[in-house]
Amino acid sequence: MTSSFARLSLSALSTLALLGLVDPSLGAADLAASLKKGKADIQSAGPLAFGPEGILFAADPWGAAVFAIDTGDKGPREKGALKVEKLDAQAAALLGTSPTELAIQDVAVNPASGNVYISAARGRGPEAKPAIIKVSRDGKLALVALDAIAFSKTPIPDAPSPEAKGRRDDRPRLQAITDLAFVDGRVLVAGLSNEEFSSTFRSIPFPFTGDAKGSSVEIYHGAHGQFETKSPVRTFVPFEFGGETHLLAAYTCTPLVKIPLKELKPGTHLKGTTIAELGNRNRPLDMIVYRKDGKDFLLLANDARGVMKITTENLDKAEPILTSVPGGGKKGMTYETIESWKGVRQLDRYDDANALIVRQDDAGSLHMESVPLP
Amino acid sequence: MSRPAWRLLAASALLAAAGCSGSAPAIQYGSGGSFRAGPIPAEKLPSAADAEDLFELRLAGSDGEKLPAVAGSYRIDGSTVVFDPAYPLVPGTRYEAVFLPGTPEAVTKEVMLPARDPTPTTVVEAIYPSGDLLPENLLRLYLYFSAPMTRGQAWGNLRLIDEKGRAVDMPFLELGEELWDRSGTRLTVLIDPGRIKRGVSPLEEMGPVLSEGGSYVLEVLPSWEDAGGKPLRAGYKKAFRVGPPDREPLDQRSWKLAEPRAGGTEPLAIGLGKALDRGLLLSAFGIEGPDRAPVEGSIAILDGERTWSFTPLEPWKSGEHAVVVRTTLEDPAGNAIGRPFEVDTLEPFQTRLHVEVVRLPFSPVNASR
Repeated sequence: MTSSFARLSLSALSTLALLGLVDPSLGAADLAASLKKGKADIQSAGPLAFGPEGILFAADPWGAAVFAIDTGDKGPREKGALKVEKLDAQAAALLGTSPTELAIQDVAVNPASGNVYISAARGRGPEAKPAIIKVSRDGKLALVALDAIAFSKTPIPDAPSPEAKGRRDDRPRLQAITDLAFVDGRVLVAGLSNEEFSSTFRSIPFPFTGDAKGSSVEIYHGAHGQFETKSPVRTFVPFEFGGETHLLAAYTCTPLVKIPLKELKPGTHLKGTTIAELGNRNRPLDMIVYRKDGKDFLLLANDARGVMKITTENLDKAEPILTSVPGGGKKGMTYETIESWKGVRQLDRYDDANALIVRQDDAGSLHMESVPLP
Repeated sequence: MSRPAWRLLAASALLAAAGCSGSAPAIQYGSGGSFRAGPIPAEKLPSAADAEDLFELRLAGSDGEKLPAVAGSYRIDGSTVVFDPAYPLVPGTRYEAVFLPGTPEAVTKEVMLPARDPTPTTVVEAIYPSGDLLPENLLRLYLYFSAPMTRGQAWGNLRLIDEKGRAVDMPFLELGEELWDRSGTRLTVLIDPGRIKRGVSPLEEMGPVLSEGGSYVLEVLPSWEDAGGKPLRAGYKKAFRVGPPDREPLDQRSWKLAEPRAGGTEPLAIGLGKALDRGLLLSAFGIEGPDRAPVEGSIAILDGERTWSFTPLEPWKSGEHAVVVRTTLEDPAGNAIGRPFEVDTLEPFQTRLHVEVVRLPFSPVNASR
């Protein structure tokens, strides 16, 4: 998830501009101008991330593409909390079905307006239809009409395949997309194939150039006393420290890895540095960064180990973990678990002082609300 | 879907009346999935933008919960408001259409498409690897179903039982997005790579998922629903024993290739030495003819995933052919061509920038020989 544009502090953006990483001549109008009105043929709506000026990036895992959509939702930003009870029942009703026939995939806050966008699948199987739903500040849900909207898309190219031509009893490989973010003029996409156990990480320039293959990179990190070469990145967030922008990526069970953004170049291998082991038996869901009382924190939502507030002090000096971590499986940066945030399934940054969470109650219903950052 | 919907339409004669002034207000649900409601009183004939105030479709019985109306597009056709739901109605779900023409009271109509036959029909067809002795560092399994399945129910319906009859705790890599194929009939299941025993490093609190010498049963529960929302006709159990870990990279030089006869269509068979990953066996191979053009034909995976076989559509030509294999081909433990699944930290950092292929030349044997 990942409105990573929102997560980058203004200072980070201006630093990027100073470093020449963001072309100041390429304004938001140019970005929007690259989008053409038509029918956005999204086959599945997966992870979401916002860029500037209400441009929504939506991953389409089944269509093996990333869409850039002009939501037209450019603000202004209004103050106020957001709360939607029974989000799943409401979204299902909007789509004319029951909550059991609806799967919410991701939630992203539009930093320009504070409205929330949800990606969902309506239906259960391969015939399930995608939906993108807008939740306004007043808690009202509306379907984003994808059949007449300004958009552009870029394919996520598959590895070249020598597949034997002719009758086969199987279907092409699919790419599961685990997270995406927009940072520094590029859409970063983390994924996993349903056949090879190889983690892919792509960097696709935006505006899309049509034939943007992006760069596919492999990220290595130390864990388990071995170099983990292939595990999928589950969630990641751009974050500035030590004078440069990094990606912080969380993997299954649960190494946290730092990667300098400048090393993310086409056709390269990256060697990420494991800076924390946050415990096994766990699956990271979403991650945001925020500033409170003059300090930066990471907030990581997990399925088994709750929401972790991780201090980022000395992140630039964090010792790489290269040996296996026995016992409880924790090492590196310290964190506290936010005990009062139970059942968090989705997390994004709502504004400077609040997070947006979707939580599941004991009966299985989903509720969305903005809550003060811990 | 539209045909049964028409059958529901009790008062189809009203369709003709809709739009005629003086007729009773009515709602129709018809072919193409559109709702038509009319007539709109002449003094209220609205713009399309106002049409949403005249008609709405809701899930029946949802009034108390203040749920939103069903999304869709509105237009005005004569004195009729036409509503097209954004998504087709779901069979077996009751909907209530409400027309508010401004006359004394609202007109409502309940619509329900016939529910699907609830008799379970879908079964598990196979689980791969097909062998009953699997390596301790097994990484990947495939489940094949006879019909498309519901997404999002795998982790509640799949269990790994050890020889004491206990369910192994969290054995699988539970991705938010399950790894189905495009048809929704094949699921890739990954053993949590954090819990595959590695080298001699101590295991963490959970222990390994699989231990050498153990016996296990992978169990599919019948409550798993197919894409139609029906449970499986029956559960499924795959019993297997666990052998030593396999950390050997694949070596295509050890494969046994039986060359076919030129002019015939007998299959080319490649003995792989050990069972390889079925999904990749189906996609990682290709055959090039003497002109380097792909040869068309059909693939069969035989001998417990130990033999890859290819039967050409046209008779084999003479001359040098090649089997083309992506180096991403893996065995069920994730070892690839030239590279084991694990890379030791002490070894030099390896790089492998692009997906590469290896070519295994062969020449169909001339019949005259």
